[in-house]
Amino acid sequence: MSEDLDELIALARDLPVDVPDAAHREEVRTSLLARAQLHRVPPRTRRYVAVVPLVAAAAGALWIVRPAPALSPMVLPALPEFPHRGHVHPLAGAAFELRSAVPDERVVLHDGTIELDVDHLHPTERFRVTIGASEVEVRGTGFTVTADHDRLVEVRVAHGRVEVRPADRAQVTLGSGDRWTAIPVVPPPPPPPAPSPPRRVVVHTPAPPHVATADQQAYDDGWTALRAQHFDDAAAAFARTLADAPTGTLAEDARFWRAVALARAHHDSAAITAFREAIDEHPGSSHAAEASAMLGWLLVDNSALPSGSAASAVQARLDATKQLAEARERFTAAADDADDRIRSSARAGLDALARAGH
Amino acid sequence: MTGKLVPLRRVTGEVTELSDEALVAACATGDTAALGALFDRFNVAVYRFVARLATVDEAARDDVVQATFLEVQRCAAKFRGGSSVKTWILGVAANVARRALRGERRRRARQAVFLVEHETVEAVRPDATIERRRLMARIADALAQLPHDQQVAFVMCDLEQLTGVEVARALRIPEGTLWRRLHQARKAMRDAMRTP
Repeated sequence: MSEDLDELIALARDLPVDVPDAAHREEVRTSLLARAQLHRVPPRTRRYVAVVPLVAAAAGALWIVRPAPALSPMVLPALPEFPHRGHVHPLAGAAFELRSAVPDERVVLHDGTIELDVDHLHPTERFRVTIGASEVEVRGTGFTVTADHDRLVEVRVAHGRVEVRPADRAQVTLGSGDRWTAIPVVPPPPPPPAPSPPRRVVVHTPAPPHVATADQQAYDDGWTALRAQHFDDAAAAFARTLADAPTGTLAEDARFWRAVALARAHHDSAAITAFREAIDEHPGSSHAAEASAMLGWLLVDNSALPSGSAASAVQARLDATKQLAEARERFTAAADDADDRIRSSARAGLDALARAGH
Repeated sequence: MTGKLVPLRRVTGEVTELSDEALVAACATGDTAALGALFDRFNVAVYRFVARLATVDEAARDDVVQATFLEVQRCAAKFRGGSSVKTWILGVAANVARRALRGERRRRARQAVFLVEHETVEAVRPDATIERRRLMARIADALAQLPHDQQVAFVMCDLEQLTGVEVARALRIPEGTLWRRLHQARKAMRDAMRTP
């Protein structure tokens, strides 16, 4: 091997390699084992396959690699397409299936309870949990779903937003801390109580009646338009959501997605204003860091252009400097976010600014 | 395909004393705890390997690592001991990364319009770092330009310093093919570095 190649390889070995921290890898491990459970060989085949390798394992250090028995003709479940946005954490006894992957990820829950953590979804992506004829659709969140014999029993939202579409009732959108439970199937017996057959599904908290409001309708229209890449329509629909209910439960998401729609439509100035508004109005939002990173890049991208109000080149330079200072603040706000994608974007922004001497 | 109970507990006791090969064998029986133990032993190596493949972007790394270990579980019964378990798992990761690359290309094409395009910003910013950093950047860039198979050969043989015989077995390719890929990768890297 020539000297210059040796040197090149030595330098290449020194290239920074980013390995996530132990906590993050532990999360990946947990998620992996949950998925592995989904991909396990069904019991009959497992028993058939298990005999020789388990004996070999018991032999410990003297174990000798030997040809494993051929798998039965049964077709093993195929790996899902990746990436997946949702991480399923089933509680003991939960029975569920992973039916499809990104961009329309669907989990079918038959029985028991599963907890889900869903990453930020892109506008074209969906994540749904189906229980019988009912459906729960995620808007980017962590939540818990309980079912009983293919019947939706309860949904609890830890953070973010979830849309519940029960088979026999109007849909409802839940926010952080909200809970939805099924209406009792059997009305309470009149006094004196007559003995009735025990039911596993007993729900004590009737859900409030739900009627799709104007802001909800506009919000749904916004999402439909966003998925169809009709960004101007999406921005207009989210604006209607805000006009109908400026402090409603959908306002937080509507402000964020309106800003995203404006950015995608290349209305940069309007998008910058919209992102600022979203961050200022909802500083604790789950979208805040993502909004900060996106706003940072918009400010950087627009810093080279003289602002319309600048009366001179000097003024334009001052405006650009101000924008870049704000971009630094926005990137810094997102630089330690838990989401890798957001964190990387924000740090790349800070690096770009540093290289430019800002 | 129904999950009833997921053993999220870390493996304890005698299972952790098993050899790598025994863990693979246990994994072939569907033993999720053994899979967890394999993950504990090799996840850092897989993360390092995947991070060195420029064809896998940062956002997809977790998915590639997870898919690698799922594939390890699925293919454990086919492990013949032709290479060390670590080399075999990295070979699995290389194949998973190739599939991820195809999927990622489709996904990127679908979502291109949604991405914030900051690459152009980085491109126009002057880089005022010292000479070594520029050299490193050129090496990283040259590595990124290699086709996936050549990247894998270069990373496994030259960077991870795994033996060619084992790598060829893990990748299920003839040794000659591996050496050809490695030769092409080295030549391309050197040519790229010589280009002013």
